[in-house]
Amino acid sequence: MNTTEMKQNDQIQIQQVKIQSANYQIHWMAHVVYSEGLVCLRSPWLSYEEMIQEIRSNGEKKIYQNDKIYWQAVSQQTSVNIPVSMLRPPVHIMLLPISKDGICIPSKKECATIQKTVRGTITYKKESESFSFDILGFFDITERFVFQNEFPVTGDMILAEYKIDKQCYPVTADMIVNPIQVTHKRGLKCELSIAQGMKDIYNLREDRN
Amino acid sequence: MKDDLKVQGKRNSVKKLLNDCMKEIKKKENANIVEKKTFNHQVPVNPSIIVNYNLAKKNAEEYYGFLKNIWPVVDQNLPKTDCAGDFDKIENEVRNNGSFVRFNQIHIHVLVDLVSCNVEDFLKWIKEKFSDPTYEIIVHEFMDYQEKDQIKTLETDFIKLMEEQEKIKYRFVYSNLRANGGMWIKEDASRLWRLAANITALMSMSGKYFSDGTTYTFSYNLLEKPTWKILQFTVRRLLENMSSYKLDSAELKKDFTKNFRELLDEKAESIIKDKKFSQESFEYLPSNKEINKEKKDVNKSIKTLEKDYPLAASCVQAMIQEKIRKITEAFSKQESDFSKEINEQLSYYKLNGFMTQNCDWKELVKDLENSLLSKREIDKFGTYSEILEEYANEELKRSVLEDLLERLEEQLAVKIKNAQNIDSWIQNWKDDPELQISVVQKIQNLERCYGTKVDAYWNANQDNLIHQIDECRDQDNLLTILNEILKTLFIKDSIYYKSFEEEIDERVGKNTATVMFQAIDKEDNVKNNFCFNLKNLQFQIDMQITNGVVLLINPNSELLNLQITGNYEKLELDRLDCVERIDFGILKLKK
Repeated sequence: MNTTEMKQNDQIQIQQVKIQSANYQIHWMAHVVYSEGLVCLRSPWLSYEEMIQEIRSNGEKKIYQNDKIYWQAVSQQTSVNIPVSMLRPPVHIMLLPISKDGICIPSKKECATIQKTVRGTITYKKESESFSFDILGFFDITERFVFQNEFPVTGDMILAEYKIDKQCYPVTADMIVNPIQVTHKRGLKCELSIAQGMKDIYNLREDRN
Repeated sequence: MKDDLKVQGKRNSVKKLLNDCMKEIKKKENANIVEKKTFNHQVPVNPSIIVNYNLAKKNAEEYYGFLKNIWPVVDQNLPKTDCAGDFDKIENEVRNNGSFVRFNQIHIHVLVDLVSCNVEDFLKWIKEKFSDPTYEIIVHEFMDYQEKDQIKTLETDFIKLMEEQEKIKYRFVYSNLRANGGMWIKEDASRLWRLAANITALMSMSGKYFSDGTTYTFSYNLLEKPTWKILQFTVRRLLENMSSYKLDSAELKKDFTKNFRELLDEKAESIIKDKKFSQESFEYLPSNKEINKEKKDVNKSIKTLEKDYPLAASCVQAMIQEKIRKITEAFSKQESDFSKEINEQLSYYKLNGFMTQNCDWKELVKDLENSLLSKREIDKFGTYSEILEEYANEELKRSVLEDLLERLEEQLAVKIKNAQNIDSWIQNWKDDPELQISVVQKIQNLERCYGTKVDAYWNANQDNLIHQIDECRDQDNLLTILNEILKTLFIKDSIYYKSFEEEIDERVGKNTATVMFQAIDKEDNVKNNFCFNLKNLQFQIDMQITNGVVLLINPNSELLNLQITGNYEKLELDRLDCVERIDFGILKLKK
C-alpha cells in the first residue's frame, strides 16, 4: 500500500478512548473527505521510524498485529471496539485516513497531536518498615517496597524511580516485581514515582491491600 | 555518457588552467610594456567586411582567433559574416563605424577553402552578391594538400580561379604545401591562419603593400616564444612533483594514536567533568545496608555486585545509562569537531603515503580505539561506594570516548575521501592529452630549463605548497590552488614574462635569437618558406619574388640592431613574444 504525507486537513482527531469490558472503545469525528482509514494502536516501545516502516511494509493488510503494533481498517464508521488483548496498555491510538494516494502518514510532531494515549498502571506496595541503630548509634529506617506493572514488560527501560535525599535511583522494567529494601536515616523520606520520561504513559498507584 | 562528460570536464579543467596562465602571462607582459612605451599602430583605415564563404568552423575559428589576439583593434572594426549572414546589416555596421573616413570603397575579404569549393558556383555568388562597384573583392584562397586524391581537382580549380580577372581585385593564396615540398601540418598548420590574419590586417591598414588585380602568395617565418608549450611543460612538471612527492608515513599510525589519544582523553574528561558520579550517588542502592556492611579487605567489582546484589547492580547500570543518555543529548557539535586537528596532523601527503603502503585507514581508528578503550577490570579492595564510583565514571568516559571515536571516524572518512580525490584529480590532469610530454619535448632545452626551475621552486617551497594543496576541498578548488601556485612561480622566475629573444637566450644560450633571426633572413630560407608549391603547376604558373618584406616586431627588440639584408618595412607592434617576417611573391598565369 502506498503512503502519503498527512496534511493538516487530513487529520482525524480521536475524540475519546476508554477501556470497557476488556475492549478499547474508540470514537472519532467523521471526516468530510475520508471515510476509510486505519485505527492504529502503537506501543510506546515502538519508535516512530519503526512504525512508519511497519505501515509501509504491511499497510495493505486490513488487520495487522505484532507485539508492538496493531491496526485494523475501518470504513463508513466513527467508532470501533478493539480487545485490549490485541495490544495492552500503555498504547498510543491514532486514526490514519486512506486517501487515493495511500495511507496518510503524520510527521513525528503531528503524532503527538493526533494520538490519544491509554496509560499503563504501575502500582507499588510498601511491604514493611523497620527501625534500627547504626554502628554510630544513629536511628535508621529500613523500608521494603515493591513495584508491579499491570501489564508487565521486560527490558532495561527505566519505568519508575525512588528518591532519597535528592538522590534518584532508577527502577527498570526488569527490576519490577522484585522487592527493594533500602535503609536511610531518620528524617529522610523515600519517595516513589514514575520515571521522568514515562509520566505520559504510566500512572502510579499505591496498592494498599 | 556520464563518463564522457567526466572526461570532457577533466580536459576542460586542464585547458582552462593553461588558458588562465596564458592570460596571466600576457597581462604581465603587456603591463611591462605599458611602463615603457606603446607601439601599437594597428588602426584599420579601409572599411572592410570579412565573409567566410566555406571555411570549416575549426579553421575559421583559428583565423578569427589570431585576428582577435594579435590584431585586436582590427578585429573590433572588421565585422564578420558568412554566406547566410545578413549582409545589409553588416554593411550598415561598417558604414556607421566612426573610425573610417572614406566609404567610396569597401573591402570584402572572402575566405574560401578551395578543396571543398565549386569554382563556378563561387564565382557566380561573387558576381551576384557583390555587383555593386563600391565593393573591392579580396579573396583569401586556402589550399590543403593533405588529401592526396583531391590535389588534381584542387589545382585545376585554382587555375580556373586565376583565369577569372573581372571582379576579384586582390587574391591571396595560402597553401600548406610549401615551396620546398615541406608541409605545415599538425601544430604548424595554424601558421596558415596566422599568416592570413596578418595579411587581412595589413590590407585593412594600408593598400600600399599590394597592387590591383594581382595574386599574391607569401613566405612566412615566425620566431615565437613557445609560451603555450612552456606552460604545458610547467603545469605537467608541477603535477609530476605533486604526484610523486611522498611523505614518510612510517610513524603516522604511532603519532596518530599518541596525539589523538591525548586529545580525545582530554575532551572526554572535560565533557563528563561536572557530571561525574560520587560515592554518595550509590548510598541508597537497593539492599544498601547489606552492601555497606561488606568488608573493605574483600575484592569487589561490578561482577561481585551483580552476583551478590543483582537488584543493586541493575540499578547502578540504569543510573549509568541514564547519565550517558543525558550527556549524549547535550553533546555539542563543537565538542566533537576534529577537523582542525585532522587537517593539522594528517596532510594529504601523509595519508597518501600511508595508503600507498597498502594500509587501511580504519586501522588508525582501530589502534586508537584499542589504546583508549582497553578494558579495565576494576576488582579491588575498598568499599562498594569507592568501587562503584570508579567503575561508573569509567563507564561514562568510555561511552563518551566511543561517541567521540565514532565522530572522529566519520570526519576522518571525509578527509580520506578527499585525499583519494586529490590524488585521482592530480593523476588525471597529469595524464591529460593537453599535457603529454611527447607534444612538448621537441622544443630545445625546454625540459632541462623549465624542469629545473619548477623542481627548484617545488623544493624550496615544499612545506607551503603542501599546505596549500592540503586545504583543497574540491576539484575546482584544487584548480584555483594550482593557479595560485603557478602565478607565484611566474612572479618568482621572470623568465615566464621575458621577450622571445630574452627567453630563448636564457633557455638555449646567448645569441640564439640573433642566430635564428639571421637565419630567416637568408635567401634560401625565404624561398623555401613560400606557402605555394609550383611542382605540378610549373607549366601554367609563374612565381616572382618581390622586394617587399614586412617585419612585425617590437621596436624595443635588440634584433633590429642587426644588419638585415633586404628592403623591409618595419611594423611596430606591442608584442614581445614573437618576430614575424613576411616576404611577398606574385603568381601569374603563363601565357
